[in-house]
Amino acid sequence: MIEVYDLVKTFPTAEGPEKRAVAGLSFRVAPGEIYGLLGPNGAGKTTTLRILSGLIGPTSGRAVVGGIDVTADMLTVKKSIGFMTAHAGLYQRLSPRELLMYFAELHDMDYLTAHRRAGELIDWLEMGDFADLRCGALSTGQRQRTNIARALISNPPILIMDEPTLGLDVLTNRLILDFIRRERDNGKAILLCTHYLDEAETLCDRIGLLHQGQLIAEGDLQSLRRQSGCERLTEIFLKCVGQSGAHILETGSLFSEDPKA
Amino acid sequence: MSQSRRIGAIYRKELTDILRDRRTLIAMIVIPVVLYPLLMIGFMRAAEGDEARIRAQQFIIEVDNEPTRSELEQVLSQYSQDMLKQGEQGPKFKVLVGHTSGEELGDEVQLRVVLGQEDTDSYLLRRRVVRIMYNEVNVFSRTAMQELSGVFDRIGEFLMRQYLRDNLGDTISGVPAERGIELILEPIVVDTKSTATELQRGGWALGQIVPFILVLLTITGAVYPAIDLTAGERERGTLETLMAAPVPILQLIVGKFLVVATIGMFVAALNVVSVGATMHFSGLTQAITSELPTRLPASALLIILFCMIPFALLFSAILVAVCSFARTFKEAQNYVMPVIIGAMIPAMVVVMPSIRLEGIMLVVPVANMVLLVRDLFQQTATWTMVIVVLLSTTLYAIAAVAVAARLFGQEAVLFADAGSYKTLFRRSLFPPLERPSISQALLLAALLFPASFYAQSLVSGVSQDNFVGAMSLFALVQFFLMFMLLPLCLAGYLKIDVVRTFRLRWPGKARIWLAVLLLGTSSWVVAHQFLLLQSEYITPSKALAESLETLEAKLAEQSLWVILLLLAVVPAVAEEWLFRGFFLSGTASSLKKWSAIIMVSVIFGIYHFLIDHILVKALLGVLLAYLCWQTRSLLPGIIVHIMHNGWVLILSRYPDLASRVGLPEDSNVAQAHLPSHIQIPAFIIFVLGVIILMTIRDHKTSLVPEGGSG
Repeated sequence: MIEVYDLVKTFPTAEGPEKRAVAGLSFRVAPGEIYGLLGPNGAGKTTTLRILSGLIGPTSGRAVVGGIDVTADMLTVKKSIGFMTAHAGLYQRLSPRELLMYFAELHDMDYLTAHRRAGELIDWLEMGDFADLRCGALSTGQRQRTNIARALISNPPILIMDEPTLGLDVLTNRLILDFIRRERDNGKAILLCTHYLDEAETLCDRIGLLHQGQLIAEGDLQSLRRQSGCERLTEIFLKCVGQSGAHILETGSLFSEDPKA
Repeated sequence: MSQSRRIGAIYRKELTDILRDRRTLIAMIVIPVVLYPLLMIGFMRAAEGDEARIRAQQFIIEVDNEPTRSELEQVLSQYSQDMLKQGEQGPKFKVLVGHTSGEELGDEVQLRVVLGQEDTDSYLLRRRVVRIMYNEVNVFSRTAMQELSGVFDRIGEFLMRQYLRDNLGDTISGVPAERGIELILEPIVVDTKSTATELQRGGWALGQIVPFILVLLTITGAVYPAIDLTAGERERGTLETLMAAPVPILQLIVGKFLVVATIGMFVAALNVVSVGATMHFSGLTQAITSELPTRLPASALLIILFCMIPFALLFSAILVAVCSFARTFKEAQNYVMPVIIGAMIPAMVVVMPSIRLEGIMLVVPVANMVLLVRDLFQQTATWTMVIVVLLSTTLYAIAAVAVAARLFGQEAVLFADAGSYKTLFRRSLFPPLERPSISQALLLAALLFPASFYAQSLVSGVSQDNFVGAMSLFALVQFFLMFMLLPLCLAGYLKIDVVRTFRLRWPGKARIWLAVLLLGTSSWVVAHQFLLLQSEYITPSKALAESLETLEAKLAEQSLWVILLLLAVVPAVAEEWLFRGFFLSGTASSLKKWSAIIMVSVIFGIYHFLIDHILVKALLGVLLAYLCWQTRSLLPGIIVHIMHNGWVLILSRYPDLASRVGLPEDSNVAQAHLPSHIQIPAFIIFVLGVIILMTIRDHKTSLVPEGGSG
């Protein structure tokens, strides 16, 4: 569903050398799988997600989403993706229901289908109480549920989510995580970035650890434990990030096993 | 889904969103409906009251000594009494002896007066001198001076009448004394009479004021939504999600632009109505200018409302383009200021009556609109003016929208962390492109338009003396430099694939050459008959007839090869290169086949500034663009274009030939119907040519032969 080969993205800077945000990244996300892309701030997670959602173009390498190269046909790629950013704003003066209907129209959905789909999402994400209030009046949790519903309005086969549970209370957190699992069980390919490692441990089927734009470890939790000798993902993560950059550059991997294998 | 449905969705959402914002409503409705009328009435009342108060007060005059005081006091009191007898209230003065210095004149003491006498040779004829010192920057002192001068003017006239009456007897040269005195005092009567109707006078006055107000009001209305819908969207964090939706950026921008234009128009209309009503009902119209008729004609309101549309479209497009560059609300506000000032300056040209809507002014953005509004009010505008101004304004607006779409989608603008603005213009960072983008094409079209217009108006002035020289210069400047070299350099700078963009490809199929032959032979007949048909519905302009006559006279003197080179080959190559090369490739990168063809053809039509030719050239443009699209090569179009121009030139150059093919001998080739033995075969050949073109493999979305992304 998502295939990334040797992806590179550099950003020009006005002052001098280019900033290399993604430096030769490769991974795959299969349908019915939740793939967690983890890494410290500035590791290149958000840039990777933006390339996959067709917002920016890669400098080199290939990103294929739903069988289509993102550089070849961004519009078709965008149609097959539900994209949720970390700090997504909402239109303050629209209600969640109006917002969902708007994005449904942008996704070419006809009115009846859109209306039904919006109703379903409002039920599933327990948004009934606030679906017709203005977004400006919503709490953080309500806003985040609205955002998830917006990303899913077109029922896309692929979900790309940046920090879906950022700043949420326990109840909303559980609601959203259950919802993501449910979407996975429905066969969607889900790529998500998160800083909550405990959450990633329980949620993700496979995990990729990103550091300085490169994947330094990848696999399911068991294999990461095996490779690193650590039990908790937090320890694995700290071990990765704590390693010197030179070692990573030299071997291309934090651990002895090839992460791309 | 159709483009229009998606644009409609964006339009509805943005309009709902912005109308729910209290700030918009205040700016849109409260300010024009409540605040402006209150301010105007309040201001006028205050000004009127102030003036009346000043005039009603008693002015203090200082003199040097008691005898002067007494004399002046006596004169003024006598004058007051005389005025009272006539039922008028004269100004009130109080004369004091004092020594206030000249600089101190003002609120306390308004004037110093010295009474004197001129030295003269005659004892009897002496003239009094009243020296009035006043302070011109003080309103009291200035008003007192005006009032006192008025008093002495009237006294002087009275004295003169009295002198004449005392010295000239009962009759003067046979007429009664009173009448005689009138004749002496006013030996020449100048009686001017304006022939302008009340409507025209009103139009003249409105033409001076309204365009300026329109510019101001449309901008006022459009600024806030333009910022809110672009930079505001980015600042609120909704832009990234919007950009991730499967909507082409151009459609996003068009939807947003239409909302800005709607609000700009609405606010301007509301302002005009509100200000108009205030002036009408409060009697302020007369206070502002005495030239305005007491009741404005309904046509004036219609003109204003009609002109608001292009104004709003242009300003909204420019504002959206400028704000698309900004990351924050504040940054956008900084960018908007220069735009407003830049629009105000050309808007001020209307107060200069010597500037007329002609030549280059017809295509200068903003200034041409402002002048057109003025001329519409003054009823001096022609249809040519209206069409050229409206079309050029539309072209500029489209280009601005295209630029906005280009900027809006830029990584450096979209994400603060994706590099600085400076990188937008660094060539080393440009990705190589197969063809230009629609915004690049439209921007070039908008920039070349006034330059080309200017070149054409220059050559039409020069060509009288040295035809070949002028045409060669024109070919060099317009066709070679502007139409060919400039797009080529631009393509090089932007790393655009020149071969694909300009479709430098040999069309191999024999069928193509057959179509070229058929179309090249017959298209001029179709165009000719079309022009004749058009002239039955729209009276051909004088300019067209004149230019054709001049051209024919000039052609007769030149060698055929020179004419063919300068008027057929060079224009054909250059126009195909620019229009079917750069522009068609650019528009095709975002639009579907027929939208792209029609857009380029309309631009092609507008570039032929002769109003009668716009439609026929646009249709010829459709044929050439279709030919280019089907054959994926520029060459067939060039050849058909050369043949098309060539036939017309040959027939104009050799009237004998024209008569031999059956045209009436004495008639002008351009105005005569072709005989049916030419018309019918030509139409059949033309249709055959088009049919052959249609059988060539249809490239629905892509002009690029292989591997195109379309």
